[in-house]
Amino acid sequence: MLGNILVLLIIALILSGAVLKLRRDHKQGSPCAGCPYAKACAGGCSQVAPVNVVLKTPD
Amino acid sequence: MRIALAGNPNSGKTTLFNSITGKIEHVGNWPGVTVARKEGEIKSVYNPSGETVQVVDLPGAYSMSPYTSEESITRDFVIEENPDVIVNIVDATSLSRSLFFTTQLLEIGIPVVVALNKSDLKSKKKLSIDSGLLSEVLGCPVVEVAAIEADGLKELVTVSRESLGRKLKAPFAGYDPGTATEEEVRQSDKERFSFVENLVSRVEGRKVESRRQTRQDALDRVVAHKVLGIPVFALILYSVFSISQNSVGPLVADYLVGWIDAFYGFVQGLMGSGVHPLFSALLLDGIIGGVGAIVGFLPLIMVLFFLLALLEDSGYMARVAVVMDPYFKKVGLSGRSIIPMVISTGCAIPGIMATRTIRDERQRRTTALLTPFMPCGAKLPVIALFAGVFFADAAWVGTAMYFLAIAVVVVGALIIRKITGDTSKSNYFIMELPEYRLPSLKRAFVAMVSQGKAFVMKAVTIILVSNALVHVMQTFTWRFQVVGEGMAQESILASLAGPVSWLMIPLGFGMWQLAAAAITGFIAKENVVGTLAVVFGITNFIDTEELVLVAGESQVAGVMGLTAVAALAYLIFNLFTPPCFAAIGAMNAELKSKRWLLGAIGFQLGMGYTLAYLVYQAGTLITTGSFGSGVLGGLAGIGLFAGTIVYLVRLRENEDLEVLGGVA
Repeated sequence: MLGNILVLLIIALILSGAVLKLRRDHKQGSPCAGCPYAKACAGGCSQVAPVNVVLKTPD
Repeated sequence: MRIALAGNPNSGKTTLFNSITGKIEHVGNWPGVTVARKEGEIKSVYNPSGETVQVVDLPGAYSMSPYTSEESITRDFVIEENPDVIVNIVDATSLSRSLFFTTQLLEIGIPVVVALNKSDLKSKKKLSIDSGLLSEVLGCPVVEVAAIEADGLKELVTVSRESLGRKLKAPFAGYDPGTATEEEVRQSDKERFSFVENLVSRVEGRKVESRRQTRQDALDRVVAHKVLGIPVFALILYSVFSISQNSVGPLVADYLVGWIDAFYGFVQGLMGSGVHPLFSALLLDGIIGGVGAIVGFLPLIMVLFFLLALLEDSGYMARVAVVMDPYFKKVGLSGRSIIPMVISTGCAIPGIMATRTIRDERQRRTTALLTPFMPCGAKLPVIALFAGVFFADAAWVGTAMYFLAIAVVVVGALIIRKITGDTSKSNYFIMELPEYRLPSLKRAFVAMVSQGKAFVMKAVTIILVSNALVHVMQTFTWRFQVVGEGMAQESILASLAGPVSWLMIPLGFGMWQLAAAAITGFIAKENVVGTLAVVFGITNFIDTEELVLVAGESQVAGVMGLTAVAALAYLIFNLFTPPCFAAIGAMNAELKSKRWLLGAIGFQLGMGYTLAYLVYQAGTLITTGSFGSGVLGGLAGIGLFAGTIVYLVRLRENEDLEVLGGVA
């Protein structure tokens, strides 16, 4: 019984750790955990463009 | 205080940024690596004052003309960031090219400090630069630095701090960017070129005859040749895969997998038989096994990235862009389309972002749509797994996937050109070829570690959570009862993936486990491997005894129930269907149109399905003498895809005719 509780706790700890890391990265502007380019897509990859960039329409 | 680093592409801005901030941003020995701004704080060793100094690394630009899109990006960056000082990185070995941009920066009104980078190469190139005279004429400080050796950086930071608030007088007054017409800009640029040429003739001494053919030129005649360059590229790519998958990679992987195995056994022993099998299976097979299966490929991925970083640092990747240019142009893509695609071999997201530098909207969108077809780092474990299990670690599998991706891009570009109509103006792809150099082991190592760290972080976060969910969904039915022996089809996972697996029958892998792995691949492509490990209960794919990539490949292949042809089709399906959600998000950002985005996803899905179908059915016909199952059903699916394309092409042609009719 104690063994079951311990294993469940460890699983919960691992999973919540992973989810917290994902949430923290997301809040810090890195929507894709681990992605070395995540911060380049400021505010999330689905944003229109990085900070202060205005793309000109083609001539 | 904020300092902006600005300069021509490949002048060494990111190398300098990394040196003074201690950050590890991606650098490449070719233009166009930086597409977005990066920010960091100057290390105290270069900034003894103790005051916080922020540095912003900007994308490279040759000029600040408002009539080219990438340069207007830099212009907007510089003006809107409003830095206190601009450090203009000037390539000391290419002064005449660099100073055009310098004179434009001096007009903005923000204090400028010129950093004469690559000064260590001056003696090698028999060059001399009178930096005192240069500073006098430009009216701003000039500091000689060698970013790669971290020379002169302390002085650069000190001079930059001293320049704060200093008034400048531009040595060349050009046009007013707010009111100037295109013709006025052109005329002004001509005069600016003359000014720069005159200045360079005064400050620079060259002892090398520029018309003399160097060894580099001779090498480029082969390596960058439009025909010979292709077999050279194939050979290099094959060698890279061969080293990473057949020799060095598995050798290192052996140790890592041994540790993972030992850890698995240790946890198993610790739990003993007292723990409920559901919990122990979730921890052992769902979490440790699933993550371990992916982490087992880490050495192979790291060796591959190390070799690719060496290639990039040597200056070779720029030659690949030149080799591919004529072929891409013929199918309506821009020569610039190659850069995002080469970047995509690392990760599709920065590749898609790099399409911003393409001026023509249709070409830009087409490139953003086709770029994810290139095999990215996340797809490498999938390639390595299937090459190992079904093709005895053959390096040709990885190489073939790259060339197949290029072929898909070419065919895809032709189809999209037919659908959208080619309205692009003919354009020239001008890319400065960086000099070949002996690649730095240190830089390659740093790039490798950075990619490896990202790989592990992904494995222990998103992939770990996905695998645990997959394991739970595989263990329980919708009534949350444990799935009984031999009743796996009743699991939540099977019921969700089952209907999708019906669509896969014509492709040779109509099993719910394989469908589930393909679906989880949309979260992150590495998930395909993790999910396969969880659903088939395979702890790891690397044999520690035999030093081969996959343990008992026939056993693993048997468990999966696939023929080699079906496995190849499955690999192709995973590589050429839409990328992960993050990359789809980047596509959404760059395509800026829901219609284009939906079309792109549909197109990628259709291409992946068609390719997998053709490979499976043709391969089965060749190997067994008859077609595989579901040949007609698959044909109907492909017919639907082809029919949609034909309909869209006709629609566009009719619209063109209506426009012509209206004009007439």
